[in-house]
Amino acid sequence: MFSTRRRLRLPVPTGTSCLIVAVTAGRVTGPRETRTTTMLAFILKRLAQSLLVMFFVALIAFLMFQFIGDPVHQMVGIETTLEEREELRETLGLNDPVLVQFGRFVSAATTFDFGISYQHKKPVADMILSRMPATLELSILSALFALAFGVPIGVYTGLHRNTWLSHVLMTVSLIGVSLPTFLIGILLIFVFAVILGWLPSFGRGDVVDLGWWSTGLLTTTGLKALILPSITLGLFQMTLIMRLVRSEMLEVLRTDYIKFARARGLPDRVIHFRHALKNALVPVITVTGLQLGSIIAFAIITETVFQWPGMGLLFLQSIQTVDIPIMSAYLILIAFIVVAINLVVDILYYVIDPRLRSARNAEARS
Amino acid sequence: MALLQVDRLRVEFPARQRTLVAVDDVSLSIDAGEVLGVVGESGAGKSVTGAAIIGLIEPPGRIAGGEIRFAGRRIDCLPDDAKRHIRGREIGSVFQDPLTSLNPLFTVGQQLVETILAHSDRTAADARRHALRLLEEVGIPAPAQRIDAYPHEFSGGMRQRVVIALAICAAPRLIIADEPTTALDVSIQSQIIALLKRLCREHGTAIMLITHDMGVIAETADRVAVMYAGRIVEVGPVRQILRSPNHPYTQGLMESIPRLGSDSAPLAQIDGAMPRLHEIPVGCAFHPRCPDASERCRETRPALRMVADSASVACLLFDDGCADD
Amino acid sequence: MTAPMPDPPGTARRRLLDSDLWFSFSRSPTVVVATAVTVIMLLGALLAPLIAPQDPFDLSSLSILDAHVPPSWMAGEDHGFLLGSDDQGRDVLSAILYGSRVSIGVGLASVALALILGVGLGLLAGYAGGRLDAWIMRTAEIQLSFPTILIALLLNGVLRSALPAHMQDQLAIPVLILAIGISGWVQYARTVRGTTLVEKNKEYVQAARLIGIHPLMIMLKHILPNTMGPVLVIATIHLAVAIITEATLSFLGVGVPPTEPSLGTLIRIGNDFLFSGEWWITIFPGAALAILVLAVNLLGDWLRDALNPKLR
Repeated sequence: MFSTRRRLRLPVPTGTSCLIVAVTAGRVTGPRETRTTTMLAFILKRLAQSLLVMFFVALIAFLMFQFIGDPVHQMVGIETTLEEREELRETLGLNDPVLVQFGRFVSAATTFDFGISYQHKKPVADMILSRMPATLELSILSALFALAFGVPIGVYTGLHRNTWLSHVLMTVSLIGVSLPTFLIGILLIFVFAVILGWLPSFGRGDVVDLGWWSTGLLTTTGLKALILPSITLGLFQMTLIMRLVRSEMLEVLRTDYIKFARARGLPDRVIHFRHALKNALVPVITVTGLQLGSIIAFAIITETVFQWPGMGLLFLQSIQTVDIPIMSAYLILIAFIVVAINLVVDILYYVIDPRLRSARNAEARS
Repeated sequence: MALLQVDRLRVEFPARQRTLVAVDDVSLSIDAGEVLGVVGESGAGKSVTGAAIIGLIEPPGRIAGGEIRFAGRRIDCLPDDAKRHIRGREIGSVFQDPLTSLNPLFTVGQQLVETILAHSDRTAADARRHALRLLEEVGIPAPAQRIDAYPHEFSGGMRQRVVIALAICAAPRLIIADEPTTALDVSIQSQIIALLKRLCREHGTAIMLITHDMGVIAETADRVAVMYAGRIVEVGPVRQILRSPNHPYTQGLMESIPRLGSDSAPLAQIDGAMPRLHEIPVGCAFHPRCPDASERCRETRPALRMVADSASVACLLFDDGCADD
Repeated sequence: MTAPMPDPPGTARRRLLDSDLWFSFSRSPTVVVATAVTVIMLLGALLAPLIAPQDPFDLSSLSILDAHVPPSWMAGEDHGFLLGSDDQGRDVLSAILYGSRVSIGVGLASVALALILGVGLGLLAGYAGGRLDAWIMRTAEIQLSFPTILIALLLNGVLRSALPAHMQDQLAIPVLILAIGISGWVQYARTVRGTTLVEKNKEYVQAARLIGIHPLMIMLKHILPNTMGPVLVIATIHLAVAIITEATLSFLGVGVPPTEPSLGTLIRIGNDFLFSGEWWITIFPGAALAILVLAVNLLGDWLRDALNPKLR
């Protein structure tokens, strides 16, 4: 017989800003409900939820077509006759029942066919695809930047919470949270491009085409052009990660198993970097994974500030010109990326935390 | 010479308005191979005393006075690194809740091996062999299969055995066991007690057994110290104190233990509750609840003094040596 | 165990004053400064028409001759513009005062909307349970998987383009408030739902139900007061987020109309002059925005710690 007095407790981040709470509250508690099920059932359930989300997003994207603007009106010139318009309407299938149209929309979307841009008269899929490398390179580099600085600083401020350096870092991080992304970008441009003239203030520099992927990572100008946008985009995430790691470290350092590790006479190095850090990083992985989705979304702002030729800039222009095909394609793509990341993060969680991996679990017994 | 000698220990926790005294003028000693039971209600200062001995008082708490000697050497004012070498190597610890004492993300083997390596020059392979021996010694069945399991895959009792294995990794001369059975089922409790007693007997390890459970004390301890409101009120051989407790508080404790077979009067209880740290009264801390309190008890704090061969009590009733009541 | 007592009205306020709140407030200079800054900026925004040196919207008071004037404390020049003037001869300080009026107004209104929406739905989900609860929380979860800014951006874009062209500028601010408000309700709903689930099983609620008090009254008079602490914390931090969101949308050119510039709009306008060295047009509104958000964030941070001693 098992007797468990206390429930096994997953470290739930005590977030430092609204955003952390928003992101983690859902995710971390999410897998808890399904702990007793097996891994496969868990993944299947998550997959079903993901499909549901995608369905809703597709519905919203489709409804945008239905209710906003008249596609025919957008596509033709003033001199087009009523008959020609009606003919176009028929060939586009706009006279079919709504459900049929929705079905056609979904099946087209699964093959990444989002029609023709109203504004540019080009296939939306091609336009987005050609701009995807710029956004992905920027986003991934920002995430790496955020992790590479956020985790060590978070660990430091968690371990040495009362040193002056910690206070300085915490204050700076709060300023980082309070500065809107675009303002950070403007300040960086002002200092490093306008005053110092070290780095370019806009564009990607020279890019090299590798098949359909154009990369800025292989040229000096391309790399230089990446620096300011990546910092701009990553700074907010960095402060987020740092504050999360710090609060997790503080929480973990208070646990019984850390006290017991001290009582066993383990060196501080082992206690801090082996025991505490590993436990503190579990929720951090979730949050970082989920933040990747929001980094891609925040890229809209960074790309605007730096005139970065990515998907975000395209999306913003499409909002201003009410170019529905691009808006809906971008929405579905982002949803897909976010959902896919969620799924990967959930599975990763399973791999990292042995408590979740086991079917025989404390949760069921308490 | 005693293995552990605590003299006039005082532990303080600075709080907002005043400083709380969690352990006040506590002296005790443990001989090699001896089991000292420390008994008292929660908040009486038992655990803080234990934490002070291994140098793990949570800041801002601090040792404000007195000294702690282990094998003749003063250990309360050592640098952190030297304290660490005493923890685990000289003094092992067992905590109350085996569910939370083990890191959930590491296998028990990993946690054993790292502890062994921290206290010896063994190779990793050798440490693992030692870990297997330890698991066997604490009674984990089929240790070779269980060593790579995670803590959550063990039952509560088995986890406490793992915790004990971790405590004896470096063959310490003293184990501080803080409520080692409280979180366990009654049927498991006696097994863990039996295990501790066996280790004590076979290795000559001394144990400081902190508990609120008089039954556990009666079963295990050689001597017992009764704590109340951060002070020791009575200390002596366990049989003597169980049979004829001197301090009114100890008497109350004894009377509140249910006994099988004795269909005597209803279970007695001590009126009131132990004062919280910020409202400990002047004089004898027990006087507001004491049936025999006199005017003097309100003003004078009794010192611990010998009343019988080896029992001491801190009570003004015994102050002038005339211990006849 | 103490028996759960019905909370008489006013308990929440007394509890606030009795708690460590005042103590930790008076002990933290940062918080006192943050409060002072917040109050000053709120007053500045509120009293803008009275204290601003110039009405930036009164075109007759503007002179193109005064355009691009640097701040008055910089060497050589003194045209009486403390923080300089922009390309149309507008006093930057006045523009900031009026702009923060719009920023704070939109922020507060969005928070109010999100709060009402979130608290209402949270109460409903927690109290009703069952299918309604599942639907509300599932919607929340889906919304939560998308960044707030994206939802606000999209909602704003869609709502705006659904409006007839002549009303777009007129209704821009309400649409913006709607978009930011809707994008932020989930936080409140989750918290309130959690508290409601706990409270609804307590004896006083059961008793109230037994004697036939209307569910709506139970929710509003008995359960709602228990959720106010965490909701206050969320609202404070959300205010900072809402102000940032508004500024971002306005910076991107899809927020408030240019006729009623907010801080974000001012930064956008000034951004074009950054390269010609006229930094004051964008840096000062930027600093005002950053200071405002920082002060509110500090307040929220402190409030969260003070109301939740466990975290300290």
